[in-house]
Amino acid sequence: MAIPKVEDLRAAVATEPNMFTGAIPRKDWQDTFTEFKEGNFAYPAKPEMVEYHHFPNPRIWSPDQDDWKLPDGWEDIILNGLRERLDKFRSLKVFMDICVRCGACADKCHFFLGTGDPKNMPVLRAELLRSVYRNEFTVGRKLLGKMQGNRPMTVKVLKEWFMYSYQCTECRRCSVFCPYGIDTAEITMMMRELLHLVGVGINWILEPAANSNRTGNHMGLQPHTFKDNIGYLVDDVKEITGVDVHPTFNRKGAEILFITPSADVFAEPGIYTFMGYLLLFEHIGLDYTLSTYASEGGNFGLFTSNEMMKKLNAKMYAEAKRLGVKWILGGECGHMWRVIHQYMDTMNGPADFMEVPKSPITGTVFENARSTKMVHISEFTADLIKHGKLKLDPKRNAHRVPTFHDSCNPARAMGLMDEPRYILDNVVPKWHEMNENCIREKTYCCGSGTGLNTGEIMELRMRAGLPRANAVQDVNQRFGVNALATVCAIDRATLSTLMEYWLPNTSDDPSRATDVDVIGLSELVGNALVMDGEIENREQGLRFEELITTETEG
Amino acid sequence: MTLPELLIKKREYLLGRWEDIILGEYAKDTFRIFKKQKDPFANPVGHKIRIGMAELYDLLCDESDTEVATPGLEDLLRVRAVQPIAASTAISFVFDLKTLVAEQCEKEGMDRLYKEFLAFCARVDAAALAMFDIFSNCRQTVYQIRMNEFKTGRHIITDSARCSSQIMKEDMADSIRNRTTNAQPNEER
Repeated sequence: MAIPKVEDLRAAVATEPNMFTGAIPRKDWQDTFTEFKEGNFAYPAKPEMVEYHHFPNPRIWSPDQDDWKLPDGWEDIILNGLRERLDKFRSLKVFMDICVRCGACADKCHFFLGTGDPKNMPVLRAELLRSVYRNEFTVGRKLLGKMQGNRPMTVKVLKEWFMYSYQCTECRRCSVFCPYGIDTAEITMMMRELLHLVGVGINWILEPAANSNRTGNHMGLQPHTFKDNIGYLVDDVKEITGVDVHPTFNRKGAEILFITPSADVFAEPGIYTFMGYLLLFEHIGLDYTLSTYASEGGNFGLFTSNEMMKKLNAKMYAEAKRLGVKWILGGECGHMWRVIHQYMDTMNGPADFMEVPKSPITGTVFENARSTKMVHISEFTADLIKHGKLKLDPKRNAHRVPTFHDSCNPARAMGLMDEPRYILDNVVPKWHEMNENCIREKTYCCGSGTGLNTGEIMELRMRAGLPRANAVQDVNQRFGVNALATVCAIDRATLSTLMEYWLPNTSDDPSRATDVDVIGLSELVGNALVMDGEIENREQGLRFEELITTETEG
Repeated sequence: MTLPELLIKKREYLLGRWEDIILGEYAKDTFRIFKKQKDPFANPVGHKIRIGMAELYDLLCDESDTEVATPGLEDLLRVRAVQPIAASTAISFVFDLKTLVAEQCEKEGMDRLYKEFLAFCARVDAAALAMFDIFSNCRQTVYQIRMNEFKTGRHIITDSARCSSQIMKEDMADSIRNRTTNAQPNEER
């Protein structure tokens, strides 16, 4: 009897090893097509969500079915949409034309590094669109045709766009390495926009965007709920610190409007960050108000279309105008800051009805926000610390040994790199940097941004987040890092999950899910603040965890 | 030369070829990058595969070593557990080592060492079973983190209270429930 080889036996129990595209790509990329299976795509938008936004082609469909129920003449709709955008956005035209395929970006994408799928190399992801662009809009198309890698718009191409434009978190790490400065994120944004023209989008983005339209925040919370939950946080701040904090809502005439992601108000661990804000503002006696209308800093329009982004962003400024505030202070959010710094000014700005932001405590004028009138909480806090306006006891955070995760958008889209580090220097006894190729402008994404933080693609998220988790693991092993500080709401949620998978709990405490807690920077500030009238020898942190109040080594 | 001596002598060569088998699952361009790039931060998958395989190789060679769950191997399986591959495929690379070692034995004219080779194979089989447990734990973790995300309200639309004290109360209730369940498994219906 012949002895079967291991490979033969394996074939009997499993189909061929399949990479994300459904099979090991052995053929040329143009001949390898996507295969949708449960787990490798985010669920499509519900018809009512598509209708809500007045987007075309609302229907029940699923990517894993052959027929996507596209509208008649969908090819022309896409090509006309592309033509319109090429005329409208000079940048898109340039990005389509100037890539020389040098490959500098190829191995810089966390999705490529985690999945190994060549179509996640930024150059090839962009090529999915470029190949169609060349075929339709360039002079040499007839001459060079397929030789140049040109191809017509087909259903297979459309499906590829959907697969890979939703395997990009628009983090822009690749752009840092591109010698031409091509913004691959904007190419992804265009692919997503074009897909919406034929009714192809995901629910995880369109539903929060619809909620934001309706109630002002992603969660769909109504004003009374928003206010009530902050009330609970106020109670907990009182119990933990003994201090009464006094947030106000929709108060006309306040000096500053504070806007933060709604996840700070409702989701763990964002709520602890929010408690930090409350303590900070109380500490300095800030004249601020919250809005139950502009109750969301996040802007899922950025992941949908430029029109949607503009609309959701406008709401914050409309509320600032209505309340008559002097300027806006923004909380720890990621993509909100990309919208503010890169797009707001030409979409809804300049916000001339407000004043150039000036710290009422230190007198610092934030020239960088002269046009947008919106200041980041870390810029604001770092300035307070620099001027000695905060009474801080970093030893209270001695139970935390953090590292700092630069969130993609604040780091790469607004250059916020030194302020959070300066704050960390002042609110914890010690913290450690991750490897230099994984921080600052070269930071790795959490792997779940741009509306990909949904449960049905958990494995994909864990793959994409590996480069980040790997760098955290390194400082955990070398320095005993047990906290991952960050300034983004999506990070706080998704990195928590990422840490639970890649750095599971190895301690004796069964209530912990991971060795590294994810923590908002303002929570560390809140814990370190020595408040007037606080409980003597305060023993608890904002998570009701035990604080170390005695002198520690090092 | 005994088999253990052969395994030590041929360590680098065998590890290199073994690694190629796993990396061969990826596309040609990916293989090149994952194989060449030695910086662990620029190539975490390649790095974890390399370290995990080396640790597994060493414990298979060391007859006194019975602890399969080394940190590097756990990491390697954690990588495999979130790849879109079948469970059998995720583990099967360990068996490929038998073939590679058998080839070497033949090359070195060591056919007489079949008893040693059988012992080596038995260690590979035992390791495979342990690895399957590790792999299953990783899969369990994936299910658990989905639940955790749900529970923490990191993604849900809800209008129930989320505040520190509420979470603390829920955690306490959970741990009491767990203790009760663990103490009286037979009463569960």
